[in-house]
Amino acid sequence: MLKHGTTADQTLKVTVVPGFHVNGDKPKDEFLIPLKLTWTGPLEAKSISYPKTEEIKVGNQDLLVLTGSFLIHTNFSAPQTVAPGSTTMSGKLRYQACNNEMCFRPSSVEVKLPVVVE
Amino acid sequence: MKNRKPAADFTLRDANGTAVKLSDYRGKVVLLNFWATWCGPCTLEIPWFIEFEQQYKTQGFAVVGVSMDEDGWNAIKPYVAAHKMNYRVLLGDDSVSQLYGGVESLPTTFIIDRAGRVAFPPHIGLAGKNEYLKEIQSLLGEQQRTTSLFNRPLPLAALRFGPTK
Repeated sequence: MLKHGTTADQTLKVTVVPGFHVNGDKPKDEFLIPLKLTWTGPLEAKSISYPKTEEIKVGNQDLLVLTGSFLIHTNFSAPQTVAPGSTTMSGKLRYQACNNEMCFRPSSVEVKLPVVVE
Repeated sequence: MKNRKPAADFTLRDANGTAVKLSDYRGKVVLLNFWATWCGPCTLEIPWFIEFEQQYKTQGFAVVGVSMDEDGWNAIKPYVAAHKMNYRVLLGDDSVSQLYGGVESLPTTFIIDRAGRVAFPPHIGLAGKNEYLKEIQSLLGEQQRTTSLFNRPLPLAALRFGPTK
């Protein structure tokens, strides 16, 4: 529940399959696909905070990656223009996963966040 | 590998916009590598492929890289330049990847003989340099064995002269 003119935090828990890693939100190499969460809907996503990455070496490449489970925090606000009542925010998390031997194509997973605005 | 199957032919474009068919390479041994700029393990193999291209091209060998970069040449061209890739790179698409089993992960590499047939099981993921070398050298050797058979002089008994009455 979110009142007009206030903000609220939402936490998305992400789990990576054991043995694999995803790039963090700021990879070292410009060619790598960053982790990126985007939201569409009536609320404003004022900030998105990604977890700290760990550095690993694959061959001669130094990578900043995330493994296991981690949290992404979004701070939402409800502008005055948003009508009171139930609504839904749609999130899309883009990621690209690899292990030490192979990579899967960049992919996205969608999330739905029901919200009540007062 | 027994019962080699034909490698599916396709047409893709290179960095200059030129249409390139896989069948253009008939008569050569081809290392067909599906890769992408964002693929770390691919980056490990590329220097080997550069070496193979340099070392074996005069023996009728070619590396063909099919990039699966969604961002297209904007991503591929700087990468090719930065990594000094000396072999042909084509921009792949889903229809070509489907011809080769879907290519769900990268790198995926096929070794194709001079007759345009897939000669060995595909390498899915990072493979060893020596694995590639063994396969390439064995296929290059096949041509040499075939050529030497035809270069041998025929026994006299196999030759007939003059018209038959």
